[in-house]
Amino acid sequence: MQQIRIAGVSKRFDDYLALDRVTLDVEGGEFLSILGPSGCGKSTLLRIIAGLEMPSDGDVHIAGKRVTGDPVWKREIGFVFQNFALWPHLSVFRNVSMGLELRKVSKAEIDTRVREALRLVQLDALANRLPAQLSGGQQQRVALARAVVLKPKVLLLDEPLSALDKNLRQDMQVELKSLQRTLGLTSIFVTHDQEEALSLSDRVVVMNKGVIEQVGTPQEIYSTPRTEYVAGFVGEACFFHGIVEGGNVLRLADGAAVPLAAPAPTGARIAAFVRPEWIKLETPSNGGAPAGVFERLIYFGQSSDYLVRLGDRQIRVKHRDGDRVFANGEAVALNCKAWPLAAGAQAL
Amino acid sequence: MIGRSKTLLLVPSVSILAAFFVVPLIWVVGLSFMSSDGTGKLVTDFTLGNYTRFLTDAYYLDALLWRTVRLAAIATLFSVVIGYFGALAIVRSAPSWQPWLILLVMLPLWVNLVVRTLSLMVVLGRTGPVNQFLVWTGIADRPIPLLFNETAVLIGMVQVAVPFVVMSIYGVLQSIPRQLEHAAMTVGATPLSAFRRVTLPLSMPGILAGSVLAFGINVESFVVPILLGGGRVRFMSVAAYETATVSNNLPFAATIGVILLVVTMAMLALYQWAVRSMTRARPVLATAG
Amino acid sequence: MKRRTVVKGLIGLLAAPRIAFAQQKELVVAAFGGAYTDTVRKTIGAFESANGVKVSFVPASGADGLAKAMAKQVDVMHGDLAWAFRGVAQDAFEKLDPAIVTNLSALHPKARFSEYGVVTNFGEYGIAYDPSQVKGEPTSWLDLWKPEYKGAVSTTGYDAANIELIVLMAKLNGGNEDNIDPGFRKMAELGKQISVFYSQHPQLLDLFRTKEIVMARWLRGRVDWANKQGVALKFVAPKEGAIALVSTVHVVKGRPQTELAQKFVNHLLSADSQKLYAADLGYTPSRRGLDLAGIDVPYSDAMIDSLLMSDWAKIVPKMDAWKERWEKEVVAR
Repeated sequence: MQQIRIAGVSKRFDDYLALDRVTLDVEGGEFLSILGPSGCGKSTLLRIIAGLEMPSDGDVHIAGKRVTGDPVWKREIGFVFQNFALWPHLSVFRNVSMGLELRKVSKAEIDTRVREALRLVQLDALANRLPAQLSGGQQQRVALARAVVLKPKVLLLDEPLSALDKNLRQDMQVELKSLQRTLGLTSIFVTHDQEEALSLSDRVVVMNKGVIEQVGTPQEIYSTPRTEYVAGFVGEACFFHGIVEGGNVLRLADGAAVPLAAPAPTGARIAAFVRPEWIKLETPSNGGAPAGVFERLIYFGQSSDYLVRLGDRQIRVKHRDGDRVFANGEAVALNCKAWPLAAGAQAL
Repeated sequence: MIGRSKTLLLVPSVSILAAFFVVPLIWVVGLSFMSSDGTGKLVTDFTLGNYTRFLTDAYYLDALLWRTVRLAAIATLFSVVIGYFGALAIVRSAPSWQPWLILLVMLPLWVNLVVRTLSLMVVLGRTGPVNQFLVWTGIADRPIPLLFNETAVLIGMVQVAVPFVVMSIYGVLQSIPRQLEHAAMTVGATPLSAFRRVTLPLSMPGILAGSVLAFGINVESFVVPILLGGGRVRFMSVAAYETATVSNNLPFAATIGVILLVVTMAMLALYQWAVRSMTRARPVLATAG
Repeated sequence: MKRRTVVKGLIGLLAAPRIAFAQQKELVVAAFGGAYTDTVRKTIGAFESANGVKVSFVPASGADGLAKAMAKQVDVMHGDLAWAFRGVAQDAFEKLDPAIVTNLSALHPKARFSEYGVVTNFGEYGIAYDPSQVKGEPTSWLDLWKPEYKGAVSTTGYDAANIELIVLMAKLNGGNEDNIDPGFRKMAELGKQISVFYSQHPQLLDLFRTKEIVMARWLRGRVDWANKQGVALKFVAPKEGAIALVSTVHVVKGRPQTELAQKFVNHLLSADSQKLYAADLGYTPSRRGLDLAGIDVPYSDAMIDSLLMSDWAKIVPKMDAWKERWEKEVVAR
């Protein structure tokens, strides 16, 4: 069942088109990320779903009901703000209980539900603290508890983890995901961090300049992106531009040939890309594979990368156990299959 | 060493405070326990006579002290309500407008108070625009006396105090992120209840500062009651001035001043205490309700 | 040797102006500010050169003036009868010496109210009225009490002229300065007639302009001023007598140059100075026998004789108590 339907939503601020006819369906219980750089319209879309902004055009449905004109307080959503937006004058308990108070829930039930929500985020011991007495991670959990205590139809999260430091962020990702699973909440998660989007989501929406570039599972978005923009945004990519020969080889301008991982129309001028971990470095032979110069090894501890100069580009290649060790300055060949981008021609 | 040089740094400000505030205050308090012979000559023997005269006379207690405190308190209430909405309107207006709106609020402060009050007399006068409007719209069938009564003094005091209230509340409101209200709306609060539950309690420090300022200004009003009260609306500060300059009874004038100061300070302490205990009691009340 | 001469010369140069300054005597006069001081200044040059003195003015009268006199900061003080008698009681003034203040003999006797001061000029408080609103010409102070003008008459708050009015009402009803109750009883009735006690001249002018007031206790000179402002008013001196507005001058005791101060007082009473009070300020001079042709100021012995001027030596000690009675019985509703 579709829990959220966004149909042809546009948003215009004065002369600036922030969203251009965006259409998107979100399934019940799904965790969907909206990924994109700042200014791409992802937050605006989320605020339109919440009712914090009104669309200039198009419709929003939540749980089968058209809510386009409804104000935020009637939409039964949970919203988690980037910088928590906790009420500094109220205790943790009252931050969480306000929504229930507004719904005239009985005192006993408020108490039960708030305690339960706080237990869920492991803050039941700190119910009487003020927000200022909590750490950043604890504040974020209060914000989560505040949103989920109302059993909302959808949970909307606006870059909720970006204010936290890296370690805390990874812990919170795990917690957030398990909380979402436990409650079976339909969630939309806005972020500019591709790792976060890929690791948390059932599906990822990549947005750019007010339009959706691609919607897909994390694997689809990462391995088989449709555009150069998506390929470049969700991970490190090395692009090749050339003409398709024989349906499965890309002939580059310098004469090198790169095999394609999927067929493409012969004679078409397209772009294809490889991820660092798809490439295997070899000693040059007569195969016609792209040739480069080994520059150096970067050691990270648990893994390491090769840096290879390819014409005027420098690309990364993932080092794998058992790889041959190259000397700096040694000529190498790139053994890899490139993924042809459907919209490659336009990206040229 | 460091401690001593820090203390030394305080010397200029402390001595200025002492010279311009503490010493005159001590002198005035001392004066209030002296008396004056019929011709205004100071008699330095200690006496409680001035206080007895004031505190045992219904005229001084009711017509003077109570009227002063009552009008100042009412004017403060109006000033804070008007000032709050003014400040809110400015905070919620487009950022590019805000400096101009602030300027508009500050503008009257650069005009001499006497001139401002005199122009208010023109506005409120029998042939002034307010009365013309009332008659023209038929709300009143003939000009009503808006001047030379307590209402006129109230209007005058509100006019004086509002800019100060706006400024002190504006500062606090500006520091409250709008997102806090939005957060309340996401949990189901209408804009009104979001304001009542979030912005209003968070702006309490501004309201407190604004009302203390407004009450302090109003209770010391001098020009306004003289000009707009038409000589009928007696005020403590005016009485102190006239007692000094017309009756030439400096000790009794000092007594009026001291009583006004003590009552003002007591009122403000009481007010702060009341507001504090009210805000402290809020969470308990709300969860109970 | 040579160097020493140069140094001496330099010291001489530096010291010379200071010596000259020290020789220049200075007289500090506390006076009513504004036009009043400007008028006195007009003739001061002759006095300064005749006596080798520099006269400087400080704007101070009333409480401020007496305070400066008591602190011996001024040589000459201006005031009114209340402050005059307060100063006398506090021993602030020198007796005027008829041998120096020779002009005393040329004054109307009413001006010589005390040995410690003298009236330099008189003004008249009477009834100002709007002829378009008042039927006929008021003739008596009691016209302010007429029921048809209830709410449309005005006077100031408690001041010297209203004290004269209280005393007059006491006298008209069998009392006097020592038996003031009848006066307050009558004034309490006036209080009920009044909606505004005015405090500023422009304020009263506006009240007349808007017809909120049709009759008020005001100064003759101010009525002329109102007419120039385009508010057509008339002035009448009531039959009981106009109330005197007096400006007094005193020599402050304990200052180094009291003789010079006496000469200055004499200068204020000279024919030239006295004429200017009339010409520039519209006040009636205290000096008799001046030629005031062409100056529109009432000037006669009879006129000064008729001015109401109570015994302020008796009033001054009671002013504080009367102020309280005024507030309770006249102002309070």
